[in-house]
Amino acid sequence: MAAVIETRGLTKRYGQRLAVAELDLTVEEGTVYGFVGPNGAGKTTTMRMLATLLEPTAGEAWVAGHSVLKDPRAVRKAIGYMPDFFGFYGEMRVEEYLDFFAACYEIPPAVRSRLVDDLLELVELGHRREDYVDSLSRGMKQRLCLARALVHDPYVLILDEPASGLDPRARVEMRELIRELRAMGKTIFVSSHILSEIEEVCTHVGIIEAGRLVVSGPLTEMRRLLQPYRLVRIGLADGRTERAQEWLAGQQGVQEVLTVGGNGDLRVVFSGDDSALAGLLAAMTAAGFAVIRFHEEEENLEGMFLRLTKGVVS
Amino acid sequence: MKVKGLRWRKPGEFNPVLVKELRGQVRGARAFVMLTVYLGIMTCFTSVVYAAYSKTASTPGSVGAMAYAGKTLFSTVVLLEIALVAFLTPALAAGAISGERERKTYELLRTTLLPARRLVLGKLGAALTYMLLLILVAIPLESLAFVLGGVEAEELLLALVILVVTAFTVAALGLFVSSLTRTTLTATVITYAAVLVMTVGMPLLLGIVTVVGTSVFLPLSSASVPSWFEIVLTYLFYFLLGLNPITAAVLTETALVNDRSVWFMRFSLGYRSLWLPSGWIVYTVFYLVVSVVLVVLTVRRVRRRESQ
Repeated sequence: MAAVIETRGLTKRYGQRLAVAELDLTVEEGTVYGFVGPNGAGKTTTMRMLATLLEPTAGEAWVAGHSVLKDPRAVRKAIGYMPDFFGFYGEMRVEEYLDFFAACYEIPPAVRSRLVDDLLELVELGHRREDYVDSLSRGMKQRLCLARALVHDPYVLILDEPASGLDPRARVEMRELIRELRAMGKTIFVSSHILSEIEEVCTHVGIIEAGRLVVSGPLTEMRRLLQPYRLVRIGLADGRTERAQEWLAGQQGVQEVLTVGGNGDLRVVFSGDDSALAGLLAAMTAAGFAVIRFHEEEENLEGMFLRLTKGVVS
Repeated sequence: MKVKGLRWRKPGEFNPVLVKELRGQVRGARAFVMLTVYLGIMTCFTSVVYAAYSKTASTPGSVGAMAYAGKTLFSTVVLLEIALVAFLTPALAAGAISGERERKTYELLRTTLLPARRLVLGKLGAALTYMLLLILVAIPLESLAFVLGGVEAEELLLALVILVVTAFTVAALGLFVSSLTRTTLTATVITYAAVLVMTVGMPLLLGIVTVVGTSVFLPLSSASVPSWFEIVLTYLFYFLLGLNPITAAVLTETALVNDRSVWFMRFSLGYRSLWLPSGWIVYTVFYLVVSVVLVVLTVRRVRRRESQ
């Protein structure tokens, strides 16, 4: 797979503050790369540099093989950029808005009207084409923004916080759109400060904090990498919690035993495969413990994220 | 999604920014209100001047009195028009780039393939188109003077040249300031301040310099053969007078009346006659150069990546 977005030592400094620090990022073709980090971590700064808007302090970046610094025009042709704000001309109609940007992308007038039709259909705004942009709801504006980023049929999409400020329904619609775009073969670089929001659509995830990339890789690998231990929740019928705790601490694979909540449940941090875990349960019942609950708790990415990023914001 | 025949082509069609701006201009009420107010003010002044003439002229029907009235009418309309053009253009141009920033469309435009030059020229073209409309609709008022006499076609043409150059300069200035500021308000204030310096500040300063200068240099100028210093000073002073639209118009008129020339004006300094270019030439050449430089600087600013 070819790298569609690549940065080498990409750095942005605002006076004393380091917004992006020597970022080495690779986004491969056909993937949906979730760029996650708390507010102020450097996501927007990175995206603006990739979109040829912001001058990097140091480093280099390539999009679709073109240097962001040396060949901005080729990069602009390759990317569809959607910033984390709406940019609108209030006195413009929906179709005029798309037509205007299509003209700015030098798309000949003859194909523009067909193109506007197709895009409005894709983002389900066909029924609002004659309305003024100002009159659209937030979710509709966001979809129109996405349609705008697609007018020149770009190779890569750079979406900055596409779901921020949307209600749950609009958020689901935005997710569906991203899935659809991926199915069309687009490479998508999407940012969010809420991991769970994009977890479902991403194939790859990179976590950025204080301008540095903490981890990056395929989602499945990330889950494995971030979760070397399994969490098992154990409930006992007879309330002999303390004895069980003692006994469990002496078993193989058990790293730590914690008590949970008020009902006397235990949480065991366990390292080992499925059969080792089954062995633990068998040994426990054999030792005479009345086990009524024994299940693995799955840590979601949100938890991983919180564990990885200690809330340090540049 | 791939539309058949979607090919990249060389820009040959209309500048999209120009089309968008012009459409936006006529869509709101502003363009029509501005046009009406402008014509209203001009008509009022013209009527007042005409009324004043018919009341005060001792021989209202005579050729001389009519020519005088025609000239007065024409000068009033042109001077008023210069002032209106100078002060209405900033309202159109100062929001050109900063307005895009405020609407947050600037970065969107900058990621398209639209070259910075086309963006700036589109904005400039839109502002100038509207100003040209204002200048054109006032021609009938200026032409009233032809009915009375005393005004020639050259005068009307040169007045139009000065007006167009003024609109172009102020628009280029507004655009340039707009490309530097974050808000339209700041851009508008700065542009108006600059226009005020150009139209009112400079003549005021020149007036003061003249009063002081004459008292200091008067002994010199009484000499029958002017020194090189006096000649240089005269050229410099004449050049500065030519930088103001109103004094430039007056100088142009002086050359037309005294020397019967569209191009030159004779100025006597002692025994020597100096030939100076007519006021409108100084004005046009200087401000065309300034405007082109401003447009180039604006394009450069827009082309540059942001540092923030």
